[in-house]
Amino acid sequence: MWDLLEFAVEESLSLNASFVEVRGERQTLTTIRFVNNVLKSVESTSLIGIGVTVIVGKSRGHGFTSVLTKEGLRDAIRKAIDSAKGLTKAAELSAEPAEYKPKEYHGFVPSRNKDPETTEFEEKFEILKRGINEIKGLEGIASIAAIYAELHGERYFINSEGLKRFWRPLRHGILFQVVARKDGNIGSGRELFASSFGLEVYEKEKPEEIAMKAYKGAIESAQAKTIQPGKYPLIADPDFAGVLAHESFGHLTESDYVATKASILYGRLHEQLGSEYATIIESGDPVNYGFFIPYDDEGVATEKIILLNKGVLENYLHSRSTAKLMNMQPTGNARAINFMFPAIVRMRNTYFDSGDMTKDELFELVKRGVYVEGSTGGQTEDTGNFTFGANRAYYIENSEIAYPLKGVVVRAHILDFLRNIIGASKEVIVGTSPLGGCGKAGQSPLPVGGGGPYLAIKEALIGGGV
Amino acid sequence: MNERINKLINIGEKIVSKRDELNVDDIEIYLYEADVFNSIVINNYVTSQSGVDAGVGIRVSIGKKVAFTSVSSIAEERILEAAKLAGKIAKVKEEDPNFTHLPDPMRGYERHGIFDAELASLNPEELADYVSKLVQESKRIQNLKKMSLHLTKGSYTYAVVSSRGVNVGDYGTMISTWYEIDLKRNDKIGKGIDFYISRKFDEEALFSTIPKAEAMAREGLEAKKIAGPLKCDAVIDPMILSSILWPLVYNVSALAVQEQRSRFIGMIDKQVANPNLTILDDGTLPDGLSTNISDDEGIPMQRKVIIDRGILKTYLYDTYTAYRENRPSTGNAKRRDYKSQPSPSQTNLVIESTTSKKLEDIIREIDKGILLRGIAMGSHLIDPIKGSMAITCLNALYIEGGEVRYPIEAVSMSADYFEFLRNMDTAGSDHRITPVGKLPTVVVRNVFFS
Repeated sequence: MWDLLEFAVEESLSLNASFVEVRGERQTLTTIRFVNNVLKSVESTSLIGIGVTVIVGKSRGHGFTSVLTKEGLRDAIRKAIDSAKGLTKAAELSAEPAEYKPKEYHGFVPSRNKDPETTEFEEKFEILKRGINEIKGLEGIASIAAIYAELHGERYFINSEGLKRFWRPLRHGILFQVVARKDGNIGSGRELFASSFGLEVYEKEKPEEIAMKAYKGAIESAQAKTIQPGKYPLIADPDFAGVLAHESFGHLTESDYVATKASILYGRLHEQLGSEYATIIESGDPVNYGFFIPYDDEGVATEKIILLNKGVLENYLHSRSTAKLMNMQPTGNARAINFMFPAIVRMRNTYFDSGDMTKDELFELVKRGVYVEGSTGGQTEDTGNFTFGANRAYYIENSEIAYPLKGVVVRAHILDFLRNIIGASKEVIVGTSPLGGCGKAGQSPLPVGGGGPYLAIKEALIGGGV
Repeated sequence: MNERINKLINIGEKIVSKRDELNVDDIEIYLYEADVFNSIVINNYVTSQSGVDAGVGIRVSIGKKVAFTSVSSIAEERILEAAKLAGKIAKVKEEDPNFTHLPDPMRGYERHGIFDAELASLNPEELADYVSKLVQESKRIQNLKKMSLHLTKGSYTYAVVSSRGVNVGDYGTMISTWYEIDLKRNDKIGKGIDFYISRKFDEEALFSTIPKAEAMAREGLEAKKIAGPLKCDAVIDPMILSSILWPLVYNVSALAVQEQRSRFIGMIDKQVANPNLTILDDGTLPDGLSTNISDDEGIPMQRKVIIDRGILKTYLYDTYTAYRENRPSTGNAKRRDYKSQPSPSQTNLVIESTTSKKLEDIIREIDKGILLRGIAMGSHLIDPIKGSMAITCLNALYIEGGEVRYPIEAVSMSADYFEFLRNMDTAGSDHRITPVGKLPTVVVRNVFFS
C-alpha cells in the first residue's frame, strides 16, 4: 500500500499540484441479526481503495479509485486535478492548509486483547445469545431483535510534506430491540452499547444487562402516560446530553460553516453563551466508550479541544484549510467516511464535561419535571432551534422518578438550553453506537461518540405523547 | 450488447462458473460500476469528489441458508474472496423457512435505461466549471446570506449474473442539482430551494434553479404568521409530495405485509385512498430516474397500478417475497447500492392526473388553502404504521378566494397519513421528475395547520 501512496504523491506533484494528501484504506463492516432466537442474517461488506486530494492554485480536488494499480491511481489523480482546475472560479476561499508541526497522539488507547478482526463469527453470535437468553420467555415479550455490528480496518495516510500515519479503526457494538405487551398495550424498548475496545469489553458491559434494560423499557413504554405539552424543568442523562452536544451545538462550531458565516456562532468567540455548568469538549480520545480516533484524515493528531468553557465559547473545529482561513490552529477534525470522499470538518467525540454534584443532588434541583434517557433522533435548524425525541422519559415528582412517559420530545434553542443548565453530575459517560453515526455533505454514517454527565435544565419545552 | 455491460457480465460469469468449487447450491453476482462526480458548495467553501465507484454484491444459497457479502472492487480475485466468505457464512447460518431459491430468469426484457452521451462525456473539469458558473451567477443576488449547492453526476453500468441463468445488465446517466439560499433583510430570513434532477443534461434547466430559489426566498422575506390554527385545503407541490410518499411505499412493500408490519395487510381490492386517486409504479417510465432494463435482481422492469381509483390492487414484490406466495416478482427489487441486499421498493411512482389543470388553475379553485412548496422538515419522522404525520414547511403561501394572498412563515401541517390519502382528491397535470417518480401538484382536503 505504501508504495502506491508514495507513487500518488510523486505523480500529483509532477502534474503541478502544490500540495497532496493520499489516503489508503481497508475497511470491513459486519452485521449479525437475530430475530427472537433465530439467526436471520450475517452480512459482510469490504471496502478497499485509495483517495487522492490535491491543491492546484488555491482550489482543492479529490479523486478516488478501488483499482489498486498505478493505472487506477493515474485516473484518480487526473480527476482530482481536473476538478480542482474547474473549481478555481468557485473557490474564492483558499484551500491551502495551515502549517502543521506533527505531534503524536497522547490520549487514552482502549485495550484490544480479544481482537474482533480475528475472532470467528460463532463467538459473536454467542454475545447476542447471552442477551437473548436472559430475557426470552419473560412476561409479555412479543419479539426480540438483536444486532451485532462491527467495523474494523486500516487507514494509511501520507502527504507531500512527508507526514505518514497508520492506524486501525475499530468499533463494534450490540443493540437489542424488544416489543412487549402489558395490560393490553404494546410497548417497545431499545438499548445499545458500542465501543472501540476488544471483545473483552462484554465481560464488563454485559449483554444480559443491556437486553434486560431493553425489556424493561418495553414494559414501561406499554404503561407510559402522556404529558401535557409545555415548559418543564428537565434532567437529561449522559446519552441525551451527548446528542445535544453533538447535534445542536457541535455542528455550529464546524469551521466550514463558521468561516462562511453560515453558523450562528460566527464572530462570537470569547462570548458567554451558556451557564457555568456548560462546558463542552471535543476529542479523538474516546474517554471511556467513545470512538477512538488518534489521527484525523489530514494526519493531524487529535487533541482535546474545549469548545465551550463554563459557558464561554473558546474554539471552533478545524481542518487544516479552515484553520488557515481563520488564522487558527488545526484541531484534528478533518474526517472522511472513506477513501471515496474528501476530508471535511467533522466531529469525533463531543461531550459535556463533568460538574460537581452527585446524581441524587442533581435530582434535588428538580421537584417536578421530566427526566429523559437517550434519544430517538430529531433535527436541528441552522437557527439553533432543535427538536429531539427521548428514547425513554419519566415524570419527576418530589425529585424522584414517578412514572414513565411516552412520545416525549424536547424543543429549545440551543443557546437558551445552554444558559438554562443549572447543574451537572460528576461522572462523565461517553458512548458511540454500533451502526449509526453523523451525516454531513453526503457522508453518512461517520462513527462519532458523544456523552456527558447528568444535566439539570431550568426549563425546556416538552411536547409529544402521541 | 454494450461493451460496458459485457465487461461486467464476463466477470460475473467467471465467478458463477466456480459455484461447485465454492460448494454452494446457487450464487448470484450483482456488479456495479459508476463514474461519479460530486461537488458541494457552502457560500464560498467548495469540496468535490470524483472517481469510479465499483463493487459487487454476492448472494449464495445452500438449501434454505442464504448469505450476502460485498466488496468495493470488480477484480476477480477480490470477488472470489468475498464469494468464499459468503459460502462460509451460509454454512454457519440457520435455515430461513421462507426462502425458496435465488431468482430465476424471467422473460420480457426491453431496454429502457436512459443514457445521455453528452452527460456521460462531461469530465470533472467541465462539471466543476458548471459549479463555478452557478456560484458566480449567485453573486448577483441581493441580500444573500447563505448559498448551498450540491451537484452530482453519475454514469453507471450494472449487471446481474447467476447460476440459475439470470444474465442481464444495463447502463445509464443521471444528474442532479440541489440549490438552496437564505436571504436576509432587517433580521428577517427568507429561504428558497429548487432542484434539477434528470437522466439527461439540460444546461438551461440547471441554471433555472437559481431564479426559482431566489423568487421563493424573496417571497419569504415578506412572510407573515398564519392567524392561529386552521383547517383548510393543502395544495402540495411535487417536491414536497416526493418527500411524503415513503410511508405509502413502506405499507405496499410485500415484505412489510408478510412480516405483519403493514397497515395494508388484507387490503387488496379495498379502498385505501380517495376514489379519484390512481397511483402507478412504472419501471419503464421513459424519463424515470429508476428506469432500467431490469430491477436489481435482474427481473424485467414492469408497469403496474398500485392504487386504482382509490382501490389497492397490488403489493410490491421482489423474488423473495413473491416466491413465498408462489407468484411472479413485480420487478421491484431494489438495493441502496452494491453493498446492500435487495428488498421490495418503488421504481418510479406516477400519480395520474385527475384534471388537466396546472398549479395556477388549481389555485383558482381553492376557496381557502395553503400551498406547500420548497423545504419540508419532519417528513422522515412520519410514523408509517400509526400514521401520525407532522411536517413543517418553510415556504408556504396562503390562498383565499382562488388567489395567493401572502407568503407564510414556517407552518406545520398535521394529519393522520391514511386519512390524508383518503382526502387527496385532485392531481394536476403539471408532472415533474422527482427522486421518487413523476409527480404532479395535488390537493388534500381538510388538513390541520398551525
